[in-house]
This record gives sequence, structure tokens and C-alpha cells, in this order.
Amino acid sequence: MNFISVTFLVFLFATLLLYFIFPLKFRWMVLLAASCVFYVYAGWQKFIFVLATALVAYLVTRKIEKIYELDKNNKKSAKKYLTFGVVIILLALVYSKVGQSLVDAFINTERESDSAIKIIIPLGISYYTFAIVGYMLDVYWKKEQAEHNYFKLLLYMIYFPQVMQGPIPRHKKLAPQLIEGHSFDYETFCFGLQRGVWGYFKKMVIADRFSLVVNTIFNNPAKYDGLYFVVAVLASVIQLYCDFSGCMDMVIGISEACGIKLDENFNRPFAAKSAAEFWRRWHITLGTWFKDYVYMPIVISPKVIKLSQKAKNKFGNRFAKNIMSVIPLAVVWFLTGLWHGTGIDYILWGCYWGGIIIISTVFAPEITKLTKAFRINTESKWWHYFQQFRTFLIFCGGRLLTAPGDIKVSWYAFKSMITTWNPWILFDKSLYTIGLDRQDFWVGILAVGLLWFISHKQEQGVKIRQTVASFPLVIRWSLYYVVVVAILIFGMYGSGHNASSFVYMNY
Amino acid sequence: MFDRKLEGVRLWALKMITFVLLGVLILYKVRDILDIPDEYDAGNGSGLKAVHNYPNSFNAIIVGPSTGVFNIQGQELYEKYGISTVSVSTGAQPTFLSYYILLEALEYQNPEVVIFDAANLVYNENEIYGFVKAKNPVHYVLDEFNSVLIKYEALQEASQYYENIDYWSYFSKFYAHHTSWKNLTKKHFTTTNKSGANGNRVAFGIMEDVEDVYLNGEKEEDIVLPEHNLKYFDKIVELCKEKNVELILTTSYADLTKGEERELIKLSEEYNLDYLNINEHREDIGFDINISINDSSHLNLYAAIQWTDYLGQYLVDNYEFSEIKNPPAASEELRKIYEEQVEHMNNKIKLMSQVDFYSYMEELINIDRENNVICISVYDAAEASLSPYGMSLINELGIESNMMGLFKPSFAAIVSGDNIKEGVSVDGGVHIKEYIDKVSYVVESGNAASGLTYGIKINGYEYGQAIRGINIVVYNKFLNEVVSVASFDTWAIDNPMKMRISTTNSVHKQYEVAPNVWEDVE
Repeated sequence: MNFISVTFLVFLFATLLLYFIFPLKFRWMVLLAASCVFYVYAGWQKFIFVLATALVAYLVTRKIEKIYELDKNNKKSAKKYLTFGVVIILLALVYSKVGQSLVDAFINTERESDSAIKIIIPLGISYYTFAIVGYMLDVYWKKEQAEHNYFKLLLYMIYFPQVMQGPIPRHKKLAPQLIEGHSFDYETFCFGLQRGVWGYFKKMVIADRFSLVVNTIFNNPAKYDGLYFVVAVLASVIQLYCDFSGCMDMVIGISEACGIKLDENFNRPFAAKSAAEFWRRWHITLGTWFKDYVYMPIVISPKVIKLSQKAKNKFGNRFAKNIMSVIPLAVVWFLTGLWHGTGIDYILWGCYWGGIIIISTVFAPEITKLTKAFRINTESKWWHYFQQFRTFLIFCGGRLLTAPGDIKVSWYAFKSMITTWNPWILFDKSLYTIGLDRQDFWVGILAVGLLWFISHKQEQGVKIRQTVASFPLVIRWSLYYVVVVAILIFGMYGSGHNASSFVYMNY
Repeated sequence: MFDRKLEGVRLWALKMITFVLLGVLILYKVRDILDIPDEYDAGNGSGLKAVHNYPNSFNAIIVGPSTGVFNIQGQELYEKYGISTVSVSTGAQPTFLSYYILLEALEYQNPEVVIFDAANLVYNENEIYGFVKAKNPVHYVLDEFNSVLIKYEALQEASQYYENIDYWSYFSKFYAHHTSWKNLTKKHFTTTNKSGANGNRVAFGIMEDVEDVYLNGEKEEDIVLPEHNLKYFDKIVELCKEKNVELILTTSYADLTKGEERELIKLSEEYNLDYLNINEHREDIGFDINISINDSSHLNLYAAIQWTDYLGQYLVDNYEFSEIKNPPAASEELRKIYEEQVEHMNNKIKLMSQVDFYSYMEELINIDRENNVICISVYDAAEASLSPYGMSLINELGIESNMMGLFKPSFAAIVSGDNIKEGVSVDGGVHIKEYIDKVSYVVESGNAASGLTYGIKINGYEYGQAIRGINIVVYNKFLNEVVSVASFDTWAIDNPMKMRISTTNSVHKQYEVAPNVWEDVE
């Protein structure tokens, strides 16, 4: 069920109504029923898949709990069950990532024919896999208790607003909120809806508009050259940010309306001054998941510590420290690339980000020396702007690797960008021929301007929703109506427009 | 305590309800702005709107594809025969949709006659699939439906041809038209929802070199009318019987072949229905294929009137019609528009029917100069055989320049009412520009001395033929189109008195009236 559909809005309205009609203690059941409907709508086979995954996690964690009840130090036995459960669940994830490619390579001789086998890919498998694996590890590490009710665990996994694109939840934080039931609170409800509507604005007015530019250019790369590719990359950056963060606004807003507070996934990433900081502001829950369940375990693993000790003895303190950073970072970024996709473009993308972050970590002292040598005031406003711009360029480089969908096209576009000089396309109306006409182009630019303004204000600490709430009713309501009408008029939907799915749904 | 809480609940509930209601009101208003403004002569459901807004006001309902929009003129039927008529025909309307639109219309009207333009009975499955997929033919039919159930049933039937039907676009005008913000004009904000006229449109084009499919096509072809069409035709017959309405079949040109005509005759005989086919009555109505066809399927207004008159006479001779007081066709506005349309069509026919320079100019000097802009340009040379009478006819347009006695002069003029721009020169070229009612006119003339420059450009499009002599282009502001392109070799020594029209007409932009509606179907 696409969030950008009348069907979903009807479904959402009915769910909210039922949620607040039912008594508090039954409200989690409303959410579970709604989530099941939402999931079954995508295909009952997929639903069976997710039911089985939840069952594996439920049985494994219950078993681990029982082992600890008998002997709280028996980690060895618990680890066997944990490994079994995690491997099964991760295999399912691997199957969903590479299964179709393998089937196409060995079984489907004619990929486009009707008889070609299409494998079942469960909805949101990348997200719920991480959610459930994190939960299993937490139980194993005794950070939390195993869930005793299978259906409550299932709800945690498939909670409908977040199942498709996250944010990747933590059981300890989310599950109690889902179960406890929340009374209707007018202000929270309104704030939730406002955030949801803002998400729709980002997705429908901005992201889907700029996606036309991206598709026009990268689907026919041979027709374009030079600055066209720069425009396409910039459009893809805007598209991706508004698409993903827009979806997060919808997810978090819908949950907030029910009184459920989800983790934030974005924190104005383009204000970041370094690549590492960028990833603390972009897809935050994925970053923290990797940090808690991959990075930290590697850092504290006896083997790495031993290796670091050896390096310290042989090459000195700094080298040992670098070993402690480089190994986990390399693993994390390789896995981050794989999580996004198994193609060479995503693996390169992971290496690209990992490489930049590793280099900036390893050579941090030299960089500091350089800035001092050039007498750069690193606290100045202009240096901060430069850092933000540099981070933005790094992000654009990453988009160039993945947005075209084919590494050969990425290379072709890169070569063209640096060898072709055609700045006149910015002035001779050529920009109105690459997917957007003049009106659509300027609506997109104005909307991005509005988004930048609001982000800038938020960065300055202004709480937008609270500020709006303090306005007189007439102004406040007028503002709401303007946004809603703007979405309905300028949104990319309806006849003649193929509603594009969310970019991060494909990961 | 409880009372205070209840009061709080009441307050937010009231706020939310007010917010939603106000929002709906705003969206409703915005929807009205975004919705395509009605055109009096557009076949995009305006007839059905009239059906809804004027219950029991029509003696006859025309149903069928676009030929039912262009070829039978309701205003003519009313003014000459007193038959109040509405057309619920729409572009590329398949038979099954004819049934549903008739079902909807007969909920509101109690006519004596339903005229079914049977051209759509020959549509094959592939064609209907194409129409349904293209969406607009279905939108034209269903957009103005009041009955949600009939609309839903029609869409279900349409989904048999093309399953990916975007249902919301048929049930929400906002959803369907939200992108029209790009084309907003003053009209969108100032035009209130018109009540709909008679569902007709008029065409003014005169197609050249028409292939007469009826006379020259294959005569012995094996035609089978598609079963799905026949099923719905049967339903139409049953519906008319149930409502006690007479059903008449017609076909008016529509590329009909003799084989198809034979099948339609068989069908009408099987159901014992009257069938009037224009091809059978060409001589009776004075039908001349060279001046009657707007495009391959539609008659221009000139021929539509001929056919409508024949039909009207047949109807009054064979059927009884009750008198309807103040039907929509009696409105002064509609009458005036129709009168003007007829006048312009006749002028166009007159101009293009002339065969020599003198008769052409005699018609031209009598043309309504408020609504027509006349552009004249000389190419190469024009004066050698131009008689004083010929020059005087040019001067009667209000032009003061005189070519007589000058050797190979450049000469150009733009005449619009009393506003005349002109120029004549022996030494060099003449270049005149004018911008009248949002239309640009550029006329250039040049003799050999000036390098033979030439041009009659209207809105940037070159209409002139660059024929040696005098070139004339007439642009009609009412029709928004060029109504005459003529060239006369007034330099030719061998033909001094009878100077030929080299090129008589242009059919460029023949759909200028309500193009936003029609081009989509095309």
C-alpha cells in the first residue's frame, strides 16, 4: 500500500479512528491488525515469510532466556541458538538481495517472459531484519528481556508506518510504546498530522518532481553531456533527501498522532561539516545500528584488541589507534554498501564513504596541522560554510555512483562532466526540456527554497511547529490550508503520472 | 472535573470539524477554478450538464461518437424545426458508453426521440481498447455523471478493455484536474460553471483532396459488427422501449464504407428502426464533398447544416414533438453565437468558391472587416496586367497606395477594420508589422530590386504562397484561424482578364475552437 495513495489515506483514517475508539489495553491489537492488513495487502506470501521470521526470533529469544534462567553465565549455549537464529534471518535477507539475480542467471533464460520466476521479497525486509537481529542480540547480551507474546513481537517487526523504510527501531524503546496504548491528546495528534503533511509535501511536491529530471537524464545518458549530468546529480540529491526524509516525516508524524514516538532518522544532514558527521545526521538509525551491533563488537573483540597491542608494540601508539578505527570502519562501510544493494555500484559506494571517513580519521592530526599552517580560523563562519559545502560535494560524489543505476553510466557521466563545457544550458531554456517544464521547474525551486528556509531555522534552534502553534488561529489555519492545497495542486500524482515508490523502499 | 474535561473535548472536536469543513469548502472552490471551464460548443460532457440542469427540456437526444457532436446541429434543429435538442455524444464514444450516458440522460429527460449516431457500432476491440487507455474518451462521457453507481458500472465495463483504470480520476475532479494550474487563465477565475449548452461543436475546416471512401472503397468487404457493441446496442434499444422513446439510427459521413453501411441497414431492419445515412441522400441535401469535410470523419458547419436540415424535416414529417417552453437553445446568447458561426462559415465558403481575382475581391470588400484581418503582399511583380478596376477593388478595402504606373513595385498592406497599414516602394522592400488582439501579423514584399523578399506570417507561421503577383491571406478573429489563402498572378500577360486563384485555402489550425479539448483525443 503506497503512502501516496487514496487507499492508504482511507486505511490510515480508519486505523486512527479505531485506535482511539478501542479501550487503551486493546489498542496495540488495533495496530497489529492494521499492520497485518497493510502487510497482507502487499501479498500474503510475503506475510507468511515475515510470520516465520518473527517465529524464529520469538523461539530463539525465548530459548536464550530459558538458558539464562537455568544458568545466567551459560553464554556458550545461548550463543549457539543466537547464531542459529541470526544466520537463518540473515540468510533470508541475503536471499532477498541476491536471490533474483541468481534465479535470473541460472533458471530464467528469458527474464522478460511471463514464465520467468520472480522470487518473493518481503516488504521492508532490510529494515525488520535489522530490527529483529538487534533485538535478539540485546536479549543475548541481557540488555533486555525476551518478549513472551509472539503477537507483540510481530507488531514490533511489522508496525505499519515504519515497516517499509524504517526508522530501524530498538525493541526496548518501541515495543513498550506500541503495547501500552495512548490516550488521545489533541496537541500531539495535531503535531503528528502536521509533520505527516510536511512529509507529503517533501515527497510529492519536491522529490517526485525532481525524480523526473533524474530519470530523463540517467535513462538516456547518451543524449546528454557536461552540465546536464551536474544538474541530474543535484536533482538526485534533492530527490533522495526529500524522498527519504519526507517518508520519515510521514512515518514519525503518523506514529506521533497515535502518541508513539519513533527515533529520528534525519537531523539536517546538509549542515554537517564532515563525512562522519553527515552520517550521524543522515539515516541515523542505520548508523547507530551499525555502531552498536557491528562497530562496537569489533572494537572490543579480543582479536582486534590483540592485533592492536601487537601493532602498538611494533609501530607505536598512533598506528595501534588507527588499527582500532580502520578495521571496524572498513567492515561497517562494506556492510553499509551491501545493505543498500549488492551491485558493484553500491559496493563501490560503501568503499567511497568508508575510504573518505577512514582517511579523515587517520590523517586528522595532519589536517589540523595544515589548517594551522595556513592560519585558517576553524571557528569562523566561512570555514564552516566551506566544510558544509565540501561535505555536500562528497555526498554528490556518492550520488553519482548510485543514482544512474549502472556504474558504466556513472563513469560516462563523470567523464562528461569534466570534459564538456556547456554552461549555456543554464540560460537557454534547456533546463525546461529535461523532464520538467518551466512552471514545474520553478515550483520545484521555490519548494526547495522553502525547505532550506525551514531547515535553516531549525538549525538555529527554532521549533517550527511550536512557533506555528503560537500564531493566531486565522494565520495558523491559513498556513495549514496553503500547505495542503499546495500539495494537492503541485503534488505529482494522478492521471498521467506514475506514482513513484520511495527510493529507500528498494533497499 | 468531568464537565471541564468534556468541555475540552467538545472544544477540540468542534475545532477539528470546523477545520475539516472549511478545508472541504476551500478545496471545492479551488477545484472549480482548476476544472476546465465549459465551452458552449465543446462536446466534453457539456450536453450532459444541460441534461442535468434543464430537466425535461429536450425533444431529442443525440448520442454517439464525435460525429454526433459536429454533424447534427441542435441549434439548427430548434430554430428551424422547433425541436429542442441536446447532444450527449462525445469524442470516440464506444457503444457501451453510449448506453451508459443515455441511461444517465434518460433519468432527467423524457424526449420523444433518441438519435443514435451508429458510427461507433463499427469500432473494433482494438480501437475501443485504445480509446479507454487514452482516458479522455471515457472522461468526456463520465465526468459529468451524477449517478455514482451508473458511473461505476460503466467503469467496470471499461476495465474489460483496459484494466489499469485510475478510478479516482473519474470520481474526483480535483484529482483529475490538479495539474491544470499550469494553464490557468483569467477565464478560470471569472467563468462561473456554465450550465452547459447543447453539446454541439462546430468545425470550419475545408479539407482539400478528400478521398471519398464511400464511393471509392471496397464494396464487397466482409464486415462483422463486434459482439460487445451489438450487446450494448440491444441494451440501448431495450432502454428506449422501456422509456417509451423512439430510437433512430443515423450515420453522417464518418468514413463509412458500403460494407459497413450494409451491416447497419441489416441491423436497423432487424430491430425495425429508422436509419438515415447521409450517403444515401447526398443529392437531396446538395452535399459537395469538396467543400463539406472538416477532416476525415466530421462535416464542417456548412455541411452539418445541410444534413441537420434534412434530418429536421424528416423528424417533423414522421414524429410528433411536444412544445417545450424556454429550452436552452432559445437563449439569446446561444442564438447569437450560432448566427455568427454560420455567417463566418458562409463567408469562408464564399471566398474560397471564387475563381478569379475580380470576383474574389468583390467578395473580399464585402467581408466583415471587424472580424477579419486582410493581409496583402506582392511577390516579384504584380502590376503588368493589373487593370484600373482591379486596383480600385484593392483601394476599396481602404488602401490608398496605388501600383498603377509603377514598375515592379513592392506592395504590402494589413487591413483590420479602419486600421490600415500599408506601403509601396519601387526602390526597395516593404515590411509591415501589426499586433491585433494577441495575434501578430508580419507582411513583407519585395521586388527584384530588393532581393525578392516576401512573407505573410501570422503568429510566426508563414501562410503566404510566394506566387508571383498578389498574395492575400485572410485571418478570422472570431474563428481564430486563417480562412482564406489566395494568390493571383496579376503580372501574367497571357491571362490579363481572368486571373486564377493559385491556392485556394488552408486548413491549418482547423480545430482552433476549444483545442485543449479536442487535441487530447487526437
